[in-house]
Amino acid sequence: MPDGLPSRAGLGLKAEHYRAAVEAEAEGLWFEVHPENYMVAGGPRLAWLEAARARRPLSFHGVGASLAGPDDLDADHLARLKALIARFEPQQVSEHVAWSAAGGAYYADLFPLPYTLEALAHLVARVDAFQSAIGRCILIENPSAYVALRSDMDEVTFLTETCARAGCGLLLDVNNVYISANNMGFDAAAYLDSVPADLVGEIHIAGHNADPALGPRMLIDTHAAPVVDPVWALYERLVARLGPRPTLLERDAALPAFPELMRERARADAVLVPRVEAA
Amino acid sequence: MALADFHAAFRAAASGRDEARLHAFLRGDEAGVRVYRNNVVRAIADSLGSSYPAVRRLVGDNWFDAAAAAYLRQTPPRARSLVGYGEEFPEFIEELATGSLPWLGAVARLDRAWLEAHIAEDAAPLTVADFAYADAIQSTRCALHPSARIIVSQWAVHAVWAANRSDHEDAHTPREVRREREACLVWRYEHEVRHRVLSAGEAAFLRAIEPGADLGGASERAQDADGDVAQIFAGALAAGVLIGEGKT
Repeated sequence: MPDGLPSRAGLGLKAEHYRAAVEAEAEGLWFEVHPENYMVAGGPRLAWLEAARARRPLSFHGVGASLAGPDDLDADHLARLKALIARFEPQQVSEHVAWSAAGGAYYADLFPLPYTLEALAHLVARVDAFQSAIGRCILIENPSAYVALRSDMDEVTFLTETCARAGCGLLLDVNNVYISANNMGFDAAAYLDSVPADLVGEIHIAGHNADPALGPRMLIDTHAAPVVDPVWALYERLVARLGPRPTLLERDAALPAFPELMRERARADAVLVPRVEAA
Repeated sequence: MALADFHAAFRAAASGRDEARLHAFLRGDEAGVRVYRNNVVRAIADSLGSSYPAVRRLVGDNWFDAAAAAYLRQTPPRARSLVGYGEEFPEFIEELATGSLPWLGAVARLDRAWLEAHIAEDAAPLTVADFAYADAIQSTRCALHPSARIIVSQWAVHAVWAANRSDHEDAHTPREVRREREACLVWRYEHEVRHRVLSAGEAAFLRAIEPGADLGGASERAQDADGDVAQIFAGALAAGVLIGEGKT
């Protein structure tokens, strides 16, 4: 297994930017992809990912495992994921605290779960099974919340317990915390301050949009806009406390030109670099 | 309350069947349930839109999104990767558009062929050099490249399809589509998907290639269709649509 990701700023690798991304000169740059987009037999996607991996560290950020779901882990999905891990040897593998499949149907979204003791035991068992199946420790990502569910514990307690019992780490998505805090009415800074520093293996930052019908009281995790200033402030506060962590700028829709994404990525890198040098 | 009940209740609410069962699990209002439901439909419409770009450009986003939502209800994805989702979408929209754009299904089949060519297995094509020492082309065993798709349509849609794969401003305007049999080859050469209209002889030749069989049968089919076999074979080799299959 290769060493981990550098504690620098990475970028989601998009097909629209393959050539520019592979040829980019920026120091410390790394890439993240959804492995589901590479579950193909051949062709240019895999070739570009190989070219990217030859030059840069790589992270697999899965969206299809349905770790919190009712169905058994999908054997076909696991086999495809294992084959991609063997071929590309990513520095890190992560997934979501969410579910997306039931009764054999795949929902292509990240559904929530209540933070109950039963849900905790369920998620722990499945993270454990997933890690065993792929032969790698993973990071699990905190979700964006759009409904408030009756729970036995708060989200940070639920995530911390899951990591402790399943032996996984946390991918802390600052934008998701900001969105959930807005939608559910809690304090994002207090949430971030309460996350145990040693669990956090990676940070995500991204942009969001207000729901077209409900307006700013319901923010949606679209990855279709630049990171907003309050999320930058939360990110700087988090890094000041944790120290530098691999940080991914996510952008999946309404893509700007590559240089513009790299400028936004450089802003995150500028938060990290002084602390990497101090360490 | 049991997690299994929550899963069932949320699933019913997120697919728009029944929101009432979810209320027992909610601490606040149910307004956000619609967000998850919209996200699912949006993800599917975006996925189908990227797989069927010419169809989307021709019908517009609103019509396309409605068709995608209806397709989702009928044929939800089962694989955890959406890359190949929408295999039956051409037949679905052909039926939907039968009165207005009867050739839309033919356009969709070309979009589908483009996608399949793009993600097909890699394989080194045969070249002229592979035949330098062959006694007879007729006895050579070949197969079509894994990316090659031969799409035969009752409408001559290739020009409209090709124009609407691109981002030109005027590409939306459908040119006249003749009701006329047309065969197209869509394939990948190195990392680029290519496509062109086939002559009757070329179509007959390529469609008659059976993995493991020699080219004798395919050559006869091409001659039956008044094709120049030597020229067709040279063209197929140059295009890189043939791969070796076994030894001659």
